[in-house]
Amino acid sequence: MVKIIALYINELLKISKKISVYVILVIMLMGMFVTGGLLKYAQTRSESNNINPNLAQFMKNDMESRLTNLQTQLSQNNDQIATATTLQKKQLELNTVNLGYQIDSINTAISMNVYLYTNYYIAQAIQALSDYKIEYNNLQALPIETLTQVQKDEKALIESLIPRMEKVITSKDFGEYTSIINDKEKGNVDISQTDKDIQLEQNNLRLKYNVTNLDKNNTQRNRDSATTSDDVITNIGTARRSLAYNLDFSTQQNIAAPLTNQRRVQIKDNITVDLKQLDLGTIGTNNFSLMKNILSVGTYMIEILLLILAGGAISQEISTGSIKSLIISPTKRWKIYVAKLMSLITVGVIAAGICYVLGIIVYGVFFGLSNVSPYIYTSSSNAILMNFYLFTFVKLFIGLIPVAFYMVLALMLSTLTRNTAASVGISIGVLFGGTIAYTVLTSLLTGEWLKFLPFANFDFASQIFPLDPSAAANSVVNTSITFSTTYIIIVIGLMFYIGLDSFNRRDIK
Amino acid sequence: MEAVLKINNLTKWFDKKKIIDNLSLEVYSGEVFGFLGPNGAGKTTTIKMIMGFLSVDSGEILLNGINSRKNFEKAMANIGGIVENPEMYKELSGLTNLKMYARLQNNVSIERINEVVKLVGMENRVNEKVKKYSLGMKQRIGLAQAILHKPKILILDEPTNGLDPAGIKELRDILKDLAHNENVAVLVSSHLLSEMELMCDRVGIINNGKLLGVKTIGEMQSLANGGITVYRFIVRPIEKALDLAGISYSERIKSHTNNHIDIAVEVEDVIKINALFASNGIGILGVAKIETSLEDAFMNITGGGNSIG
Repeated sequence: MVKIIALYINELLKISKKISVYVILVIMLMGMFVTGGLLKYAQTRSESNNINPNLAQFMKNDMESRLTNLQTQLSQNNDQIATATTLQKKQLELNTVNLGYQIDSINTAISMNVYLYTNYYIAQAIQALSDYKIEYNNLQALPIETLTQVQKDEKALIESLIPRMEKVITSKDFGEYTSIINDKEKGNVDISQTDKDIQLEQNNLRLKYNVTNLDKNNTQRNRDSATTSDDVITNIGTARRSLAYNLDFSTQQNIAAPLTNQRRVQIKDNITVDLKQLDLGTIGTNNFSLMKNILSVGTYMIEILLLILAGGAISQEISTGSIKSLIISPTKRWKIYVAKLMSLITVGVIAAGICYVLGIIVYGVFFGLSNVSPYIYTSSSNAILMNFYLFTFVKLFIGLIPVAFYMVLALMLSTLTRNTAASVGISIGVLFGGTIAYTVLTSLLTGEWLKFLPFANFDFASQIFPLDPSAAANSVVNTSITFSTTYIIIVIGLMFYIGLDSFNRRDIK
Repeated sequence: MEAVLKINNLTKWFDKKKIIDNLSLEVYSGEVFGFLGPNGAGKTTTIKMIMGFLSVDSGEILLNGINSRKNFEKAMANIGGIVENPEMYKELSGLTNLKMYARLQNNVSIERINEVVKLVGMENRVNEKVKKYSLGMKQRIGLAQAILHKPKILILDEPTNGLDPAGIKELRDILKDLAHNENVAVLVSSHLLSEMELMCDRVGIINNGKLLGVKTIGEMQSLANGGITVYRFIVRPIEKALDLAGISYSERIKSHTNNHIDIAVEVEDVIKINALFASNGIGILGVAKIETSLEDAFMNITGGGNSIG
């Protein structure tokens, strides 16, 4: 052991004098800063795009054109009344009143300067009031003796809701508004109790977290791109419906597939996390994907650094002849090999540490360190928080497990080929080419055997952190963490043994 | 005397060629042993097997009585040396290289490092990066590294390569001092007989992977002076001279052209042959002593069933 430590110290000393190490670290530093800057630039641009200065004007124009349209309809309607039969007249008169309600609501909105999307619930209240009045008017028009009990109840309910809604429009009381639409929902006989409950939960969540604005963009609303509380609440509703009907509604496909057990657990976890996020008020911080992008530059540089070092570890010493002083010393060869691997691992850990610190600095410089969402995971349906910086640290190191695979491969090749260029070239080729080849392969072929490819077993991070918002899409090949771990240990162990055995036995001429 | 380096029936194959053929050798404490042979004879291969670069196909190597195959680390602790050219980490200083090597040995103090640096005369340049060194300076640091841990056996492969004449003399003195005063067994390989004569106590001659014989320098010299020298007689007419020389020296004629005859004879015979030629009317244009090539020397020492010590 003393020998191995001595060899290990010597190896670190040798690596510390390699200029390539420092060149790569400088590239890492620059690359991460440039990435951070670009991300900041992209974010600033998309934010300025979101705030459409003409939106209010556009909405106003829209409202006014609707108003004109309605007024045209009204005058046409009135013209028809003059020539209509008695039976038709009754219906047309009803229309006149209903159109009047709609015109009133738009006039109110314009006069209050309230447009849909920007002052969500007031606009909704104005719209709802008009709807209620029309519905009541329609029911009122029917002979009382023909009404069913349901229609009677509905009529009574609306009658009580109309004055309340009128008040809300002036008082702007969000709580009262929610209470009204909840009461309306409770009286809705067209949907199931389950859907009712889901709708009520969403209404209450909007009240609880004071979600008074709709998504500005009103764009697609899947979980990965949820940027507003409104999106998240909508997602919760979709997830609840998925669970209730055992169908996956969140995939945005035409046909909702039945839920697998795994997907069920995922959806449940997502709800728990979404609720926690609403609680924390950290929606839209985007810190996971920003940090991921910044660190990925560093991770690439760590990979290249380790492959260059490992690919030359044995071959370079043999080609320069410096291996002689190692062989002449009273040291068994396997100790030399082990010490080399240990020093490479150490360099990897140090480089990852530098990468981590740089990542935090870059993130802090461009985005600030305080406004970050913690990683939220679940344990028996409870949301548990993990500090974002701790999460980033752990994830970074888990992400280096595949790097260990490539590193041991390069070390093995360095021993077998005794050619630095070949070992570095092949291992970098496998690193980049292999991943691409694997992606192509999995798109063309299916089958259980795919999981025996190393590339299918590299995504430890998304297995350990399944609720990472920045996680890549699920792998097409299903592997368990136990399988992946065992597989990787065996493969790395095998490559290590082949290299070690070759180094032990082969002559150094 | 104690044999600290003992090689028994060493054999090594490269592909299907026997490179080292049943070689046995003993080197004693306190002597400088010369390992002499032409290029490709197997000197470096043997040394690399002793040093652990090459595996041993059969036979055994005992270092200070320890079988190096069975207890490599303990056996190798007795050895220091340079194989072919000394190679070091070029980006590091000579001193750092020595410190790194010292770390792999047992109990080498910083004082000892300074001591050997002084011994090889590198104290002014030892902090410079190795890439700035000349070959001679690398040889010196290599030697310092080889003797750093006071090995019982010191093995140097062609150590005078790249040294200037003064450096060669210095090295010779250091090696002799180590052997004769510090009781180190020194094994030096070379393809130059002249170098061996000045440096070694005994010489082992190797060719085609076989040890042809081991002689003391004294024995070597007496053999060389006693009759192996070849003289070139440039004479006319050559045919007549050949006939005449053939009468008494037919077995000694090494070669002839239509210009000269090479005869391996003792000094007294040169006079006799000259007289013989002269008395028979043969014109002697010149007589010259030919520098015996090493291969010839080996052949002469070992050939013809002459007893080898």
